[in-house]
Amino acid sequence: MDEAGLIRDAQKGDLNSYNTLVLHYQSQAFNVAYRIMGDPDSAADATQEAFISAYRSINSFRGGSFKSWLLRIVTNACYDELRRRKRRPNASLDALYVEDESSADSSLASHAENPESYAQRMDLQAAIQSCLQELSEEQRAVAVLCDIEGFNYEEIAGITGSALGTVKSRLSRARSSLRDCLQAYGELLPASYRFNAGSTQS
Amino acid sequence: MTTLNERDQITLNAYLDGVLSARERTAFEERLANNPALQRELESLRATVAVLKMAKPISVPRNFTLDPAVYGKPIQRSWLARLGLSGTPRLAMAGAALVATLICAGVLISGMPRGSTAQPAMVSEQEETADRAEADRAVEAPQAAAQAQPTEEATEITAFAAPAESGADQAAEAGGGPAGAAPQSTQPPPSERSAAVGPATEEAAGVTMAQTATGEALTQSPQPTTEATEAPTQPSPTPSGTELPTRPTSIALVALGVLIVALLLGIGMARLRRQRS
Repeated sequence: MDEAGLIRDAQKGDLNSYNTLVLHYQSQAFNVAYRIMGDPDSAADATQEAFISAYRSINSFRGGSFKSWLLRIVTNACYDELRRRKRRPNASLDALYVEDESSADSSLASHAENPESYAQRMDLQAAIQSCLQELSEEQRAVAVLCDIEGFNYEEIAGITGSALGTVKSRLSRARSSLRDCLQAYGELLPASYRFNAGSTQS
Repeated sequence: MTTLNERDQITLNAYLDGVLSARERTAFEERLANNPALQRELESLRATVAVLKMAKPISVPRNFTLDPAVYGKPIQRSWLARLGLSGTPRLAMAGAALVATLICAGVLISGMPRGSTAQPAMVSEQEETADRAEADRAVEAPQAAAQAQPTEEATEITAFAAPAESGADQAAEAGGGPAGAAPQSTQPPPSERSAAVGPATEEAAGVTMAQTATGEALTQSPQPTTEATEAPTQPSPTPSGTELPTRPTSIALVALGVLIVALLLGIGMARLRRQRS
């Protein structure tokens, strides 16, 4: 995909080129939104708002990482949505099952996973999301971008519009909180990743 | 519950993510080797990050592409973009407009007509004074040498006072009443006498009138002369004095405008480079 060419055409008003970019980035954009918002409906709203806003401001993109530029818009849309709703979204197992309903059967069939491990995996996903929801919006965004999406510190600073020191501080606190939260799900975690509850006490 | 301070926590996470410099990493590994609590903390964080990386991506519920029926219109581009100037910093555009205004102002100022309405009035007044001075000089011209010695002239005047009376009477008949008033007993101010004497009587009464006058007339005569000599020269500096400021003003305006637009262009280019970097 010639991303630079698509961006150029989109800046000239070619909606087809822009929609090609949307199709390429919508999965990552939606997942970031979902991890920040905590529920799929809110995440879908925020993602759609972000893509509309990005199209309207496409001419303000002056080069660099289009992905970072787009995800910054997604993150800001999530913050706006959270402020608008003024409530803490709850991650429920039901919502997670509904989300994966369309792919659940195919997942079992294609990977030949036994139901127990599937349930365990689903519980782990819910546990991760539940612990992410315990964090503040800013710490959550940093943890998602770093440990789930794989961005480095500089990229995260650009996406969140924060200083590098702020990113490091938020990430440090987020991981400490996530560790403490995940310890409560001890038996859900894979055996190789279960850490001793008392291991961090000095 | 860890007892590490925040700075150590940040360093621990940075070490875990591999972003420490070589020197920082060496120093931290030395500390790590001798600190079991730090080692446990590092391992728990490593496990936490590993669990987070197990988070599976969620399938999108739908496509988020934009509807051409709603968003298919061409993007409304500003007039700057249509002219191909969308990348031009707005400051530079404003600066260019400002310098164009200053240039026009400079041209208008330098094109204004020279001089002012006050000058002709001054010149006319000066011309009147000059005319009067010339009349005085014509009346008193033969006495120019005698003006240098006012005391001697005063005695000469008194000596000639009697025979000059007949000349003064004739001048008075020819030139009018006020000039012929008793020259010895009542003498009107020299300026009035000189104004009253017409050109026809100048030669007849010039010497005698000056001789019969008191020292005041003789001492006052230099004044009209100097005024007459000065008067023609006065108007000349004034017109050039009002002309001079207009050219420097217009040049200064143009120079100022060029400086401002250069400064704004420089700021705009620096911002563009920062955005692109």
